[in-house]
Amino acid sequence: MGDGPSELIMLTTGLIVAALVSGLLLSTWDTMSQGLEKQGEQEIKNAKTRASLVSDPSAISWDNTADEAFIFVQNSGKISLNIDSTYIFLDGNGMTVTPIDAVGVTWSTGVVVKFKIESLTDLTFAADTPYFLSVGVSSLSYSPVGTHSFTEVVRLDVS
Amino acid sequence: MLGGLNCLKRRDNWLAGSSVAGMVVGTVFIVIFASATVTMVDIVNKAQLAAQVELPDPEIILVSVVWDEVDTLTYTITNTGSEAVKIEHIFLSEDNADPFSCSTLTRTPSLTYIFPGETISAVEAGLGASPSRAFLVVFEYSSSVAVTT
Repeated sequence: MGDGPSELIMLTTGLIVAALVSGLLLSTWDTMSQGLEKQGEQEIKNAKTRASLVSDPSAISWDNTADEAFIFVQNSGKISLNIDSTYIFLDGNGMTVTPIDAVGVTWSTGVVVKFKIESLTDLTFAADTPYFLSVGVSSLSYSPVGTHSFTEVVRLDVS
Repeated sequence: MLGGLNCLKRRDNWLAGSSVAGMVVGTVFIVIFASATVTMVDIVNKAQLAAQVELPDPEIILVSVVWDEVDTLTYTITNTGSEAVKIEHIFLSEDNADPFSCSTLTRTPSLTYIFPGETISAVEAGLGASPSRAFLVVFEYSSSVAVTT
């Protein structure tokens, strides 16, 4: 007599437990999928975001009095960059970056932008000494924002 | 006797019902997990696309840069790579002067693109003195030569 209802209870309990465990597993699975998807999108965006130095690294003019120089950078990637998101470090010193003659923030592929870089603190660089110049750029489009940075050894033509 | 048989029959019905329900639920779970697996594999495959992004990979070399007595500088440029390159993406500079696009110079032949294997000459006029070195950049490729007279 009691076999039927007890099996029903066991079946129901089993189904509830299975549903709970499955829900948990699917939730974890979904989180992993979303993470992988976002990571993949980020990697693709980063791969398309590139920039390179156009200025001759062996002779970059640096004004020791005004603490400034002019750097030319080309968008060598596959997507447009945001000019205003560019950052530049010279010998580890963060520079104030001002785009010259640039209209808007869109920086198309192949286009070269001239940047005035200046230090807010007094810097004195020596001629014929190698320094590290680091440039970072970001994509114009969001979700996600692609980023790229490169570092080159440069020789300054100090004045 | 009949009561006992009915009880057994009912028990068999419960068992059959449980089995069918278990199979249905199991099948549903298998379908859900299979679908989730397929989705995840698809996402993983998409993530691999990052490695397949093809960036411009030009190879343009400065063959020579010759200074002329009439204050002109003649650049000879060859595309030694495997892809056509837009001339306006090629930038030249001398010594520590500002770089400028090759498209601003008078070119022979006057091409918009330089294809693999092609060579062009570009003339820059109106220079006061001969520079010592010329530098070419196109995307992440650069080339440099000493200026000859």
